[in-house]
Amino acid sequence: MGYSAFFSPDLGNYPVVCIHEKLTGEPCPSCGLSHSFSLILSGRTDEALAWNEYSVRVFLFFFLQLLMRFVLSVFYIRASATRSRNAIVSADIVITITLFLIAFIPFMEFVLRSFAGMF
Amino acid sequence: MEQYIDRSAQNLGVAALVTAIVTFVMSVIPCVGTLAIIPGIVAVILAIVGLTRATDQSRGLVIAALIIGTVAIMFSIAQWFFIGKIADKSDNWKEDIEGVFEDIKVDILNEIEKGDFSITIESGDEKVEIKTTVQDKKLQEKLEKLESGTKPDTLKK
Repeated sequence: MGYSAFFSPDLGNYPVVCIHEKLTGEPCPSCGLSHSFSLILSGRTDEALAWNEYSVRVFLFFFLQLLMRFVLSVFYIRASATRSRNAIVSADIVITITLFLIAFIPFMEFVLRSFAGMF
Repeated sequence: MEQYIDRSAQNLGVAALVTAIVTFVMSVIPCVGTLAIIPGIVAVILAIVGLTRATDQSRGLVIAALIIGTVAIMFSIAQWFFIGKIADKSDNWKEDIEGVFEDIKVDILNEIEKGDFSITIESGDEKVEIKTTVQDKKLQEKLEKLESGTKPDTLKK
């Protein structure tokens, strides 16, 4: 997020290039993510979706993770019983895995499909 | 002493697990995943060191870190393989294109020697073919015959 806030989507001065696009000329599912994150941070969600259709869900994953770390840490410290703490950790694991799958399944699919396509 | 070993193993386990999770998230993103191999190796080394010091209590944490780190490295290696394959393929394409141009060059030179040109331009369903004959040798023969006073074939009638 810091990286995306530092570089400007209007200037397009992002230093990282996509190797996949350089080699094949075709964009990969993660192309335009930096651009999209910058646009989301400046409130231009529609433009962000145009740059990368998965950008909003990936952004939300990282944002919610940041939020969850603070909130669940507070709950964890306040919970005195071991059972309650275990419940918080279990809930954290389940929510995080679910959010991760929702956000990153298209990327995982692409990587696995590309790898499988080599053989 | 045992408590000290247990705590260091647990700390190593936590460090390995955090590194492994971050690496895993990185490794599934196309292109970025290629960079995940470095923190992945760090996570696995931390987990292995943690495993040597781990007691029964902290073993689960370290094993989880080891598994996640290994899977992340596998994803990263898969991306390296894929990119390597594309690079190889693109090199072949380059050679193929060069080969095609070389063939075209040879064909053109042969056609020039024969004196026959044929240029075909295709755009969708439309096709334009231009045929021309230079016939350098024939023209040269005609010129030589004219210069020597004999009538060329075309002027015989």
